[in-house]
Amino acid sequence: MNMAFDLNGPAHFLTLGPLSISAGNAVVILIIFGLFAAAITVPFPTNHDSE
Amino acid sequence: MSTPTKSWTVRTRKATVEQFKPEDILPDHQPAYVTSWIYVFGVATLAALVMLILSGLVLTLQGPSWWHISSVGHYVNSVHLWSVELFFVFMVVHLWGKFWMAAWRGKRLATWISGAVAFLASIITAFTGYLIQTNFDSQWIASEGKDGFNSLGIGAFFNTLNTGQAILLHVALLPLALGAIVGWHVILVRRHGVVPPIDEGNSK
Repeated sequence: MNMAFDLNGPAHFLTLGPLSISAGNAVVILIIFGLFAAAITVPFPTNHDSE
Repeated sequence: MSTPTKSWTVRTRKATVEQFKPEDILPDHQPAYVTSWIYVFGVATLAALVMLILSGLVLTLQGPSWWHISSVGHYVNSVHLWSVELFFVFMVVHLWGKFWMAAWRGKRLATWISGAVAFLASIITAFTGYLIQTNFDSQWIASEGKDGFNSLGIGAFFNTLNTGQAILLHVALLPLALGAIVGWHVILVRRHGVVPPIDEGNSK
């Protein structure tokens, strides 16, 4: 299976009625949502013992 | 020998030190609430920007079609591409984080606005980057974008089909403008301090 990115043409688009988004953009937006959710929920490592 | 107070350099120095105190610009402590992942994404965006500039400098030396004929060029171009992907991902998380904690509180409106302007400038800079890939993708984007900019009435000033104009905008004017805006944004963050979470109080 060829996994290389083909930049020599327009992207594949996902469409839902009047809405349309390229697959690449959809993936990036999902990553951003995931990263934001993790940033506000995952505890930050602390090192109080050394203070 | 006393320094004459009429000297513009002395006045500039005094005003600069007064407005931008060294202990604020280069602090050695941060508040405890900064120990949260959501506070990491501003500096992560800056780190991606540094990688963008470094890889972009190499690409500038070799020209926009270098990456088509050289494996090293392809690698540097990929570093540039993924740096910009991370730059925007980190910047959007940073934007959302600051929006939901109302980061314009405590006389930080200029910080917020400078960040918003940096975001818009980044989009324009990235768009001109798309235009100078020298492949069918850039040709497609340029021809589609031409209609869009014509409909806005600015097609005569910004011609997406003019690759030379796009290159100069992307490697000279826009990075300088973006760098200045980001620099100003960082100085404002240092000057007013990192915004506290909302439950820490609105007056800080």
